[in-house]
Amino acid sequence: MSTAAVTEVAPAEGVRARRLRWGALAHGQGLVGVVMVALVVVAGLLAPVLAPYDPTQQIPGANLAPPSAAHWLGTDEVNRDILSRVLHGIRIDLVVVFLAVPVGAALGVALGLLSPLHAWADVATQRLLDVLLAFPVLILAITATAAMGPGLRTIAVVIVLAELPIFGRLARTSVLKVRALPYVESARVMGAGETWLLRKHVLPNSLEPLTVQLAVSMSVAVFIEGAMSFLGLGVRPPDPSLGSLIKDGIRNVWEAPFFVVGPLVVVSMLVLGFLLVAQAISAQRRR
Amino acid sequence: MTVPHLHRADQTAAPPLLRVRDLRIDFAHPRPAVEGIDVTVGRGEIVALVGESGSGKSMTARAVIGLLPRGAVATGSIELEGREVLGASEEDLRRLRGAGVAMVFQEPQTAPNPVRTVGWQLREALRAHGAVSRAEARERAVALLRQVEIPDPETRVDHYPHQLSGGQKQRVVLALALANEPSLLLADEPTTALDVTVQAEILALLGRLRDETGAGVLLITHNMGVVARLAQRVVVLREGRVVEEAPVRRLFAEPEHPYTRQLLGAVPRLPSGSEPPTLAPPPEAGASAAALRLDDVRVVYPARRGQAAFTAVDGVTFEVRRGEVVGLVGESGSGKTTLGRAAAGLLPAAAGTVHVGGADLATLSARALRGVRRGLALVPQDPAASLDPRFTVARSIAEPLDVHRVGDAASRAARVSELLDAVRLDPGLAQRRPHQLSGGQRQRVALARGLALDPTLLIADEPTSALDVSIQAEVLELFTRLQRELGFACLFVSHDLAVVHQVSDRVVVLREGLVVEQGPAERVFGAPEHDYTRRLVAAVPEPVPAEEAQARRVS
Repeated sequence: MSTAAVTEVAPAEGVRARRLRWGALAHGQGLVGVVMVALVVVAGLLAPVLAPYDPTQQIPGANLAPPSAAHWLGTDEVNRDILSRVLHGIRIDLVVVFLAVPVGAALGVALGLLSPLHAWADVATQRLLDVLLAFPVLILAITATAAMGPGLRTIAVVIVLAELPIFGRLARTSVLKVRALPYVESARVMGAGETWLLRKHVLPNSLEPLTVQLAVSMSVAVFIEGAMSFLGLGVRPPDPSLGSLIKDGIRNVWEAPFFVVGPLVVVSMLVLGFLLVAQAISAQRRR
Repeated sequence: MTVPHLHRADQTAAPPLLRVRDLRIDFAHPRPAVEGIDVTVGRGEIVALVGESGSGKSMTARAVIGLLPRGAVATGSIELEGREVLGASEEDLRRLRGAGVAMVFQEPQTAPNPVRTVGWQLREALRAHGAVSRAEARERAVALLRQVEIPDPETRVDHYPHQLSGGQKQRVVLALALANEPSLLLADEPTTALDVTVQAEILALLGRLRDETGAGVLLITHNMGVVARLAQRVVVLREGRVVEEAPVRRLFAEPEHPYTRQLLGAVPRLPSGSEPPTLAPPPEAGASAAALRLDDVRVVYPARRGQAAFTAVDGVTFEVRRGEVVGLVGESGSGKTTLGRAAAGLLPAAAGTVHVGGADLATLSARALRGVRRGLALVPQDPAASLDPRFTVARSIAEPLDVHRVGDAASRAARVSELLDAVRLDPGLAQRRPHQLSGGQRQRVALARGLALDPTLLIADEPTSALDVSIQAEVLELFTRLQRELGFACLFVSHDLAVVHQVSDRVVVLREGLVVEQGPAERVFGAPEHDYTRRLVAAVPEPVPAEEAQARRVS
């Protein structure tokens, strides 16, 4: 029989299926979103190379200077180069978006996946998530700052806590749905154990709906970081972050209206980029 | 091109009620959905449009009422009482719908709006075509319910859909369609979702309504038995083309086109009463422990907020001997699926015992249960969900081997190709994923997966009910052959008596959770002892034209 030929087909088929799944990001709004996010990510990663000045360096004589060849985005009230601060500030958001959100998502998914296995654990977990969901994020942020003091660590904890119940709920819902599907029951009847079912069938088939939420959460996380730093709950000066830059910009908006433009554009690009990605993926799934 | 059909006196003068000429419906699709269909329906005539999935029968009906999906382009001509429907403005179409043509939808569970009373929905239909006073509308609504033979219509008019049974809901759907006295009824699989006994009632009602109102009916169905009961003329569709058109008696007596013959041949039939039952030799009883034994089993769905506990199955005792196929039949709500799940150990028995291969499922440890389940397999109903969408065919079939760590990669691959061969699937399909397969192919893969470990007991829950008849016939034939070769025992759950008759040695008839009758298949279907079984058997629409069936029953 043509087993050799068949195995040759296998990788090609797999690649094609994967290409289909991510095809949404290769054109239209998905592509626009990816490009926007990628630009910001590259700018943040290359900040040490790209930034013309040290983000905390005070430049004599350049106080609230308007954009010029030397300072593309101008300077702030203590004579620092805003472009350099924006580029370095992006890195905080990168940590938040690509570390805190995935950690919160992973913990939430783990809870959602495991808690339905045991009736009591399920009830307890769900009530716990209810409590977390009931807290508005900013109240959570203020409480966490009161307990831990302001800083990147606090922002990360707040974002993990904010994402955990969302992913916990979503994962649980799709787990319950997938667990009752005929192919999972068939596997159960033929003697597959609970871990086998979770690992082979339930988890892979529950994850896909979560990718949309992941992109949405990433955009929300940028927003949370901005809000926390804006309120002074986040990154402490003199370290720059997009939120604290906007705060400084707003304070000086009368004397230097250009100040706030740079950080706002970057935040908008990140939020909009992730939302476009989320929309593109969910449109693809509906098809 | 004229196709001969029944001529009625009033038809020769006026144009026919509906005349579809050279209808083509195109999508951005490799092949047009409909390629040149001609159909006419006269006043008071019932014409059946028959075909399997993808034949274009539903698309044709939708074109008549101007409800084609977005992106569909229809050309040709559809004349209703002499007026052209294709290309008519949305306003004209709106006037036409309800008053000229009305549609009876397939799914009575979802067709009525669940948050409005039956009366509200009927009044809405009445008021859509002209102002009617509230009192008048209510009166008319009650009259409509009476017309569709709903008992106590004055009370029922204030009921919500969930308070009605499936059959009553379908009657309400009929009443909605009749509200504005349409001259043409489009009935799209009007009884497919119903139990056979209810189906028989609805079909009889449709016939009576046609007699009363004189409306023409275009009946869309895949069920030859329904066609035989109701239709006067039959148009057989295949892949968007008419393959044969004939009066119903001639079509059944001497089908001309090979496809029609194939379609008729594929319909599983019950033996008619006149034939002497041919008794199959019973499998040797008591030779060894039964493959499955249920003793006085009760299954209870526990009480949930505001709902009392529900006993789905009670006091059920029967066994499936080794190498024997036992059919479990019953209508919806009879508990047959629940019982199948209890036998598979997916639901615990509240009382009584379930023995699989001599082991009591309730007393086994998790590890021992897994061992017992090695000899157990399930073939689920819905081909769309019977396979993991992420698994390739080969991986799905090999899953039982992987679970129980049987053999190495090479021997598993060999077993997979062996099984693909056994279920008559092309080995080239091994690396496909379920969405690239047809429904019939998917069920074959599910069957192959079930057989991977040479099970002693296979539990099949309506494995073919979602398939077209010709595909169903192939899968059943394959099943019977494999069962004979491999000798596994099988609990075959189905609502379709004819299918169960074809595959089973013995039959258990369930009704509302209780066993009504059990015995050898030929005996139960040939000479049913219980009244309910008799009604069930009588209600199966046989693919024999109505008058002949009647004649046969009388003789």
